[in-house]
Amino acid sequence: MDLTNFNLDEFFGFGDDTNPILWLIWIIPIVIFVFYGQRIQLQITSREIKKNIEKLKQFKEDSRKDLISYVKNNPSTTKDPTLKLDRFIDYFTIMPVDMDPGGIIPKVRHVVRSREDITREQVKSLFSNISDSERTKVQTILEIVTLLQLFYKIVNHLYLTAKKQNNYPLILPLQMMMPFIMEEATALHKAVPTIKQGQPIGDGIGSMIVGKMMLETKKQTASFETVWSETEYEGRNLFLMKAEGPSATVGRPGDALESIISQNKIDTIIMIDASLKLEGEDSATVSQGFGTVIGGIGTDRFQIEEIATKNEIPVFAIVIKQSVKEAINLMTKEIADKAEEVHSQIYEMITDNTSPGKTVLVIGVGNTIGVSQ
Amino acid sequence: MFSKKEEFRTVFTVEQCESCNNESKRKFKDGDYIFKEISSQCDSCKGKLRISKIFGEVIPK
Repeated sequence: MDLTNFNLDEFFGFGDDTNPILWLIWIIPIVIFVFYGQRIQLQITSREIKKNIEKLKQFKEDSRKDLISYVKNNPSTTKDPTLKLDRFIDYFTIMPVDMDPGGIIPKVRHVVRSREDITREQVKSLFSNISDSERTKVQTILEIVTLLQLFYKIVNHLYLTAKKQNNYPLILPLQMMMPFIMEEATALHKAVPTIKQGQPIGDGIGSMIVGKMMLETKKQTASFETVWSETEYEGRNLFLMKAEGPSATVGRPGDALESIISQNKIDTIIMIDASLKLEGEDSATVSQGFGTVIGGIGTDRFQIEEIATKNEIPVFAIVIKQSVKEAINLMTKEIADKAEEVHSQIYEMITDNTSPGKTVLVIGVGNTIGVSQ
Repeated sequence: MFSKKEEFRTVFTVEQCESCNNESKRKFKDGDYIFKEISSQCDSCKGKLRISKIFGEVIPK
């Protein structure tokens, strides 16, 4: 190729024989994109986000209506709950200052517990007589509506700020996060009918596994909404612990462990829980590992880790992997069918890692809605 | 190209006999929960029945 006779005029179309209309056709878009490119991108991106905001608004409204009708349809409802429920939905929680993180865990626990306790009492006040199981269902649906409302408000705020400031970079993080937010919001929205009917969710697999082991044993209260019992396996003392089902609760495993260990010596802890799978991993696969496997805000995990460290207790974990959607929606057959496999893994873990005479605490972690013991 | 079809799951309850481990599957009824004792008896051995599983399953159309 001969590059020595390169003609700049010809290349840019400045020559005498060039049609000026053709010249304009390619130069005008360049000028437009240079000066208005970001605004055009903002328009395209914001249209997509706007659609999702409408969806979020719909999810929030649907769940709110479901909650109100569920409370109204309960025969023991004392008066129209709409106003009170709308106030609960708007409740916010201010987390403690974390500039000096020392001692922050008890503060976080205090804030979260206060909120739980007050919400529980407020929900109870809506009814003349309500069972714990029904009350926990209302509380869980209330939490779902609050969360959906929060998603809607935050996404809408970021969207409107970016539009108001005509600021394209401001909308980019929102665009990146939107698929994850929508995945979780869709799952939460779909979870409402499951909760209303008291059906087990994917997160309840840990409770289901330990609940089966607790059948025919004497159940005792370990802490608020948490039960434990004693049994025996091949010469080992087995302590079994889970949230008290079939209510929609995760219990207080941290407090329960503290209470049990104050009166008993524990040599090994085994925790069973649902865990979020990575993309590409199969649902309902079972994995073993070490460490405290428990979700939530982190206060229970901290409490269990503290006790285990202080008493030099090894903590083993077995997880059943699933997606966010599976964890907060009706338990799938694939997950339910894994219970038997996990049972045999627990017993194998006990015989492999402890000797006769030792005491093993097996904790079934997760929301125990629809799962008794 | 990337649109996902809505999945409709039917909720099933599995009852298991505590004596012969015989399992029977039926549609979920209000009030069912896992490990609930069932008042009816096992068809084959008259043993005690208990709900062993509740799950959602996609039924192909």
